[in-house]
Amino acid sequence: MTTTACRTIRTRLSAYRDGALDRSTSREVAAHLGDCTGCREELSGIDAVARLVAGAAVTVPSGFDERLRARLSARALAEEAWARRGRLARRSSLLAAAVLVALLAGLGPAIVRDPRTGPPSITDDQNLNLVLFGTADLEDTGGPSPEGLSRSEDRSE
Amino acid sequence: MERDLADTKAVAVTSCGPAETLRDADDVRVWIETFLAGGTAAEDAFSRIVRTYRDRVVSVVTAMLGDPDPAEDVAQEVFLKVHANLSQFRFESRFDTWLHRIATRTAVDHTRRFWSRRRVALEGIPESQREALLSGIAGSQGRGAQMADPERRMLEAKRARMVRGALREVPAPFRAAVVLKDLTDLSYEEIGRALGCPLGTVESRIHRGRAILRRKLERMLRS
Repeated sequence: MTTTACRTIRTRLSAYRDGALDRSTSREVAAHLGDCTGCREELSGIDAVARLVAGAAVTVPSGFDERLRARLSARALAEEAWARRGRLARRSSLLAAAVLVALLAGLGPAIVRDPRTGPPSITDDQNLNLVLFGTADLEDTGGPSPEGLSRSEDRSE
Repeated sequence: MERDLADTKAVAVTSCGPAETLRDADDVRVWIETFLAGGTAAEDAFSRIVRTYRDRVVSVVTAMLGDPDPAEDVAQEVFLKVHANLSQFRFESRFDTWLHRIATRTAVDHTRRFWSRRRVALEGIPESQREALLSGIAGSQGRGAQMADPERRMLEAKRARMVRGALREVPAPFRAAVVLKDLTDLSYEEIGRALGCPLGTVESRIHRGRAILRRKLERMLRS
């Protein structure tokens, strides 16, 4: 008959069989097994299953090492090819960046110094100031202040 | 029939080259350090590691997959990962614990990708042999012990096939715990480190895994 004690003991039977219980728990289980046929049969079944699994071990197929070496070599070659491609890509990027820098260095000053090709916002402001005040050198690049505008109107009077 | 032959072959073939015997726990540390140092001795050191552990890795992977056909490929994948990641091994645990962690995870990943629910039943096995096949479950030796060698080997191959088939139907966490215990004989603590779970979980997974496996095998015997 299965009792509460049996149910508790049975959860520990695998660990008991594997010698994974501490000494006092192991003694407790052993004492119960001495009196309980049902739990002994349960332990026997667990032991049988464990032995069946242990018996399912296989030997390594012939040529395993050679095939593994071939895969390691193939992977090393692939990694080397990948690294070469990476180095080539990095070199190409550096070259492209160098060309871009050279182009900007050559054309940059011309863009900045030539008023006809200068940044549109600056040219527009300068033109506006020239039209309104006769000078492009106003300290406020945002355009004339209302006071400045009124002074200009005063002057014109 | 083809599967029978394949299984018989898997069990009967001789190992390729002599397995390396681990003389001392420090041997593997020396091999790993030699491998990491690079140079001409590195690959030889790695070969020694492979020869030492390949039997266990192939067995664990085969049991995890429940099928010997893709097992070699997956076992080699395990060693490829070891080769690529050995520099990350910090000697904080035993090497075989780390190795079995890789082996079980690789096998579980493979199972997820190529899971097949082919049931292995006792079809084609004469009624007279069924008792001998599963004699262990009832706790008796049955007819297997009295058989002639070729007949016994054939029976063992069939039994192994059936056990692998039943294992395949055990959920992966329980299967991994049972396989690591019964095929590699790691301690519960080492299994916990390999699977990344506490000791109590290891104990319950082994116990429940064996109980599930037993029910599956008994059902096969009855079917």
